[in-house]
Amino acid sequence: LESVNYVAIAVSVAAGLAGFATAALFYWPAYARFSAAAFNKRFALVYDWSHHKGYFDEIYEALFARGIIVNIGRAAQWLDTNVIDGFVNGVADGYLYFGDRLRKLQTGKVQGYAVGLFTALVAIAVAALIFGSSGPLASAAGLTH
Amino acid sequence: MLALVHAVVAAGSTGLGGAPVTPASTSSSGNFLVSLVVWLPLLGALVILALPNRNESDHGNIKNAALAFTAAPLVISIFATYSTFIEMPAIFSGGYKYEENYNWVGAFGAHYHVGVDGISLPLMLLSTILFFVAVLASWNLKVRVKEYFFLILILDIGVTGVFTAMDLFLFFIFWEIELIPMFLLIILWGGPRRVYAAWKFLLFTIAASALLLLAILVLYFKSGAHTFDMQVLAGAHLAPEVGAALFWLFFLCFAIKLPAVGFHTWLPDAHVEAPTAVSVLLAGILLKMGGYGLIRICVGFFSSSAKQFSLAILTFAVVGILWGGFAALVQDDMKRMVAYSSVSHMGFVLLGMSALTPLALNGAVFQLFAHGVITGALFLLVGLVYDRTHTRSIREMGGLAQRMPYLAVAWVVTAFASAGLPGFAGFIAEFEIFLGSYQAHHVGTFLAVFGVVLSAAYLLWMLERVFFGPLKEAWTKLKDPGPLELGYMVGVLTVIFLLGVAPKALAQLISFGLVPISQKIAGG
Repeated sequence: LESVNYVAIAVSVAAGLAGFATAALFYWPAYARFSAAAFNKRFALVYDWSHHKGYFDEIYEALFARGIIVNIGRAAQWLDTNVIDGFVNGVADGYLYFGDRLRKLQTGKVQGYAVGLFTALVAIAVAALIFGSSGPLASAAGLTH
Repeated sequence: MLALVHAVVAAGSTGLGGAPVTPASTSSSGNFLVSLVVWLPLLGALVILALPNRNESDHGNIKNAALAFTAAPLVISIFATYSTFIEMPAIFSGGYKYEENYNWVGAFGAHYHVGVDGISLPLMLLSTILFFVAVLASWNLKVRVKEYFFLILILDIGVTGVFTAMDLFLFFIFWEIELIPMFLLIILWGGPRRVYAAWKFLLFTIAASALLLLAILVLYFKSGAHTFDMQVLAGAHLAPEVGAALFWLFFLCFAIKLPAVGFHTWLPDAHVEAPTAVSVLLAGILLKMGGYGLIRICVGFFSSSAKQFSLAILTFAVVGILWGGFAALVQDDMKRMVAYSSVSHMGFVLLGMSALTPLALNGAVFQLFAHGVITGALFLLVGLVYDRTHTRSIREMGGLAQRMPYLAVAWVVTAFASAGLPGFAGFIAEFEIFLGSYQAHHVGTFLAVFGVVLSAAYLLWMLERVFFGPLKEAWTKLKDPGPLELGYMVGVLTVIFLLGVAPKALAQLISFGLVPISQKIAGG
């Protein structure tokens, strides 16, 4: 156990008594020398600061509650509507766009269809010649029989 | 029946992980309780179809029919749960009860195979409770009454079917049955943006279904068993990379339904537009289909993949818990706030799943039940406020407790339950999950606990702005809800409270259901 520190006790008791005396000078009718209202007016800054508990709640609210926390929430909300839903709606819009383009292919003109059919046929024939088992690619690889 | 249960228990205790019923057998224990719960709503739907729909009194008959055909399954579920509770642990200590197995489509080995174990029985009970409450909460409906209750009852079949199916083919069919009624309920009875919300719900869910179908097909062929029997498939030996691919296919499907973060944006939209009772069902049970699939199939079938990808799932869980919580904080629409809180609270299910300890998994299933009742209650309460104020904007309200003290009390109690305060079901679930997941993931659990602080923040902040402070001029004529509304609120809150103070029976029941899964995790 440590020994009793009389200096510390004396200082704290003195501080307490000083506070008691100061309060008495303001508020104890028999000893009052100063008016609290006048003092508050004179030292408005100190009064406001102590009245709002050092503005601790306000700082806390601005910094954490409304500042950091709520802004993270807003960010999550923004990502939801823009990134995730942006992707989802983008897929939907893409389908609509290409569907609309695709729709215009069906014109009802038989000549148009015939051109398409013929082009496809040529493309397949060319592909068969190039990539087929007797084509240049196959012979280059030595696969022709 | 008793002999069957004993046989199942004996098989379970030899480490086989559930009783492998041979796919060829078409035996039935002679019980039909589960089928009654699943199919009575169909009978109800047909009765409603036959009823006239001309005036108020016809509407009354339709509502009474819907009530009767949701009350009967509820009574059966309560009976099944009660009789299981009193058999525990001496007579019932694992395996399936009320099993029915009939050859159905022999050509590819599909069976009509249903039954309940410790995981599915609580969820069947939850469904029957919430469907009954949903009918009561729709009592004042005036437009398209017949169609509405018809669809609610069809939805009932799909949901209870998913929880009780023991055959994967049957599971998939029930999974699909749920889809269309939900889509129609949102698009026909929804709010101003109902078309967008309903299509969004449908497309997300159909994407999930496609993945599910693909996964089931691959599993069917790769398992080599050519069966859909879920107990057999759970024990199938797959190549590790096939197992991993299947794990992720199933996971994606269930993660959309749960919803896990990243796949969740359909949920707030669907909730905001859906009518009250539909929101209750959506958050209360439909999301649980995702959670049930994750635990029954992802963990139950592919436990080694679940172990391997534990950190990835943990990431989904923690990001979801925090994302949902932060997003809930800044919502002005009460329903959107509750919807985001669901994203956050379903993250806890993923957290329990990622930890894979028996306690964490128990908490995850407990959370499915607890969140089902609590969030169901929250949506009921949002509905009761909206019915009176015709707005859900938190900013526009204020001081409502002065005019609606009973509703305010119900709100405060439910918000406490949702924030995970002791004495309510949610606390038990979250506590089990944290206790179980801390062993596996220290940092992840630490971050997830912050989600509980966030729930307290957004719920209490909302209560303050809606119910307390000065009463706004517009709300001076509001009246408390009547006996019907207060009645079902008291009923739901009683369940939440009972599970909070006496959770032992439910936790034990769930632990029996988890025995085969835990054995599989421990074994490989």
